Amino acid sequence: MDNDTFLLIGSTGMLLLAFSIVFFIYLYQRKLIKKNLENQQIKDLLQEQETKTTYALLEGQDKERKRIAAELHDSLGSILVTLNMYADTLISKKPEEMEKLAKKISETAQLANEETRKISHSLDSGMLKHFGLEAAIHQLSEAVSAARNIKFEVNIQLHDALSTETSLEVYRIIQELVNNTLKHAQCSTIRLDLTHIKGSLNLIFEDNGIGFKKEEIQFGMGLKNIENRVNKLDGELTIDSSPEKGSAFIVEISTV
Amino acid sequence: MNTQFAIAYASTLSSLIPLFFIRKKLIDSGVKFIIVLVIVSFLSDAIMFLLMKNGIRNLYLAHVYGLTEVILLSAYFIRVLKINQIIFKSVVIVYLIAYVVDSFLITGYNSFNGVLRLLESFLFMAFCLSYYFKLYSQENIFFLERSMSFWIVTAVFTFFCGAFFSFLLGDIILSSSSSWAFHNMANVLKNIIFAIGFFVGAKKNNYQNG
Repeated sequence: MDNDTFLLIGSTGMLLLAFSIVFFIYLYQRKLIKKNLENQQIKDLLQEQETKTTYALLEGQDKERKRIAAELHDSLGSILVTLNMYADTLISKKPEEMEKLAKKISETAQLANEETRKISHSLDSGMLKHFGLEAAIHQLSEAVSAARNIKFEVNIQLHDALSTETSLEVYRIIQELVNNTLKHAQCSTIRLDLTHIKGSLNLIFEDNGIGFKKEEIQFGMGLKNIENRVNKLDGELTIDSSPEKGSAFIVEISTV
Repeated sequence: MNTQFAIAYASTLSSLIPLFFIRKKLIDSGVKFIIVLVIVSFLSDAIMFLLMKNGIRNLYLAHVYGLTEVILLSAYFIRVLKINQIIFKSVVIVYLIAYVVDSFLITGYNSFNGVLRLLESFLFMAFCLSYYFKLYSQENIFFLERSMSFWIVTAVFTFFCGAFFSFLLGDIILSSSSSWAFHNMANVLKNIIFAIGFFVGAKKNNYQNG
């Protein structure tokens, strides 16, 4: 090979190499930026849902306060007024009438006690304590479906009471699962089943995405958060997945 | 006019292309070193070309230009890369000392200092690759095509890749019928890409962002 040919091949090769490197960097960087933008969109979406959930929660609390106030005013309040009236009358009554009035006071006090028990029971009821959870999950699923063109099926059956703390933790777990799925799963369908029956809370979260090998699970920040939250609730997390067969996350928590 | 001369003319005159895109706000940023380099490059190429046409030896000018090129490009890269300043400066200073010693004491000012030019190519190709590595590891520039530094570094990378074999075979080129056409073509490409960089920078002075 003469010098000119060597120079020609060498210089052309080096230039091609230079352009290839620059082009590769350009494409690689575009891909990374695109992925970052997608992740940012997911983050924004979840943040938006977080705000909506907070509002739903506050609204629920406000409604419940109003209901309790009305209950106290309408039932317990009027009973106590009657009781007070009987007590005032008692002073001016003759001894034979006093016994009759005392009986009435006892009955009214019994009624007041009954009303107090009812209000107390309603304060402890599931309706109050899992107030925004169901609505928040539905809102989240609708937002994800709309933003990412993903079919999100939700089935919720909360038969028993659920504490506010547990509700919030469960919501955070679902948020994290959604976040992970949107980032990595490349799925077209998500299915969420949440049931709370007889002191057993079960969450099944499935997707039809690319899945992963169970032995290659890397507990990144998202999965660690889920695991920590499940542990906090003394629950159990089971992960089932295989490549191209989607993933399933099962959370079992005893609320007794 | 033969092809070699045409390419040599094109190489010399191509320095005028980036100069056309220089705007005042570019002068305030680190790119001023590149602007100075383009001006020096044009002047030295023009003078060397005239000397060559008149049969006067011009290699000592190439040594001076080479030295200036290393200083100005290093000054630019030190701002763009933001790597360990001590190591960076040490490497550049050692290279500059070697360059002066080789060009004026060992090889001689009227001979081609191929080894040092080759080392220079390696040095700046390494800086360019460090810059590219920084780009995708930091992911802080959203649109590469709008980043002036990306174009400037690409111009430098293209030039040293394209001229690498010319530096490697410099002595042979000078003593035979082979030409500096590839070096000159790389120089034209470099100036065109510099021009794109200045154009992008003049539209939006995003040097600070990358």
